[in-house]
Amino acid sequence: MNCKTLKLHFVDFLDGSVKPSLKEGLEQHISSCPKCRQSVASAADVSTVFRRLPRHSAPPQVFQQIQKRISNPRTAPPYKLQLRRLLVPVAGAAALILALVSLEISSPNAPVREVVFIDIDRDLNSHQKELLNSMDPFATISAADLLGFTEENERDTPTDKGK
Amino acid sequence: MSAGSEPDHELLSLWLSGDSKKSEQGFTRAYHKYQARIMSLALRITGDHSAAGDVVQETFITVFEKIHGFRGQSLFSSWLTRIGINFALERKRKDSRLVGFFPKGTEDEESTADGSEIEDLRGSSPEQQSVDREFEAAVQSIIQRLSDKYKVVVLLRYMEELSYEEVADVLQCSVGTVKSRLNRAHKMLEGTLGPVVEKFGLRSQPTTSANEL
Ligand SMILES: [Zn+2]
Repeated sequence: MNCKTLKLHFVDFLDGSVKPSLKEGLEQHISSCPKCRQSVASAADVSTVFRRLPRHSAPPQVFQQIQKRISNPRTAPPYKLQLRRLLVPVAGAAALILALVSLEISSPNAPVREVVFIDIDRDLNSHQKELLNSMDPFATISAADLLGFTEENERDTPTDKGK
Repeated sequence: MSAGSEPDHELLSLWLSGDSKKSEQGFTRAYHKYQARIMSLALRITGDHSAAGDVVQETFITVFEKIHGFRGQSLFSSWLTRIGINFALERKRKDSRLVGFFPKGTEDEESTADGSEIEDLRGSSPEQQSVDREFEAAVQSIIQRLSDKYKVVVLLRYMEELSYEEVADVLQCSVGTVKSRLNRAHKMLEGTLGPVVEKFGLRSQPTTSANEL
């Protein structure tokens, strides 16, 4: 057992979910290694502090606003605009082609946007279809993308590193 | 949290029953069950009470509008939480672009001004409330130094106390990724919260064993 072993099992060790034999070995190492002891103590602080962090309730007017918006769907929620903007790069060239084709065969005043959003499906690969059909309003940049989960390689280069 | 213990499948079956009265009830219960989670996450991500309130609003309106297409690939709670996090991150990005033009007040000024309440501490003494605000401000300034991907994982795991599987479900990544992010976050936070723990007397025992985590 050494510092590397602890590093490898750190989170599981904190949770007490490592095998008893491993746990014992790690505890032994920690008792003799000030650096690892410091890491474990600090992790305990993180857990303590975040669990103590008060949770907040939204002010009552938030729910009133929601009820108002829901009962009056004419006030378009901003996410729809965002969704459309986000879909543009995905739909991109295919949309343009389809729009042109549809203009060619139907009247020039055809509702282009409708054509695009219905027909484009056929030209998309399965991943793009999934994005379009996803329940997530930010599907084209999923939470995983936003948070950088898509690239698995962990580099030690956080943008705003803690001191 | 009074409504918090009601299982999601119950409020969803109410919500999706097709009966408008029941449906409204189901939605209302879902709101009361999860609004504090979204509010708290959004507050920690944006650092701003009024922005966090907007995030709650957008999140529940979106959830309301999209619920009929929800097919349960992830838990309802995960889906809702993911939408909330996305709105919060989006909001933070937008606001940070404006900060140069309209410098914001401090966290302390904001929290007294807008009516959002600390959930667990209603009815506590003014002294206690001011200590709590000070504690929050101290922690918030440390959270802000983490980049979003680490911040979100720490908040979901420790503030919301979700399991690794639930965190993975929210972020649609593997449990392994969740753990490795947490690992990194612990490394980045190492030594930063000790003084906060000391100052606010949160250390119950002088030595910490792994079991207490
Ligand atoms: Zn060591």
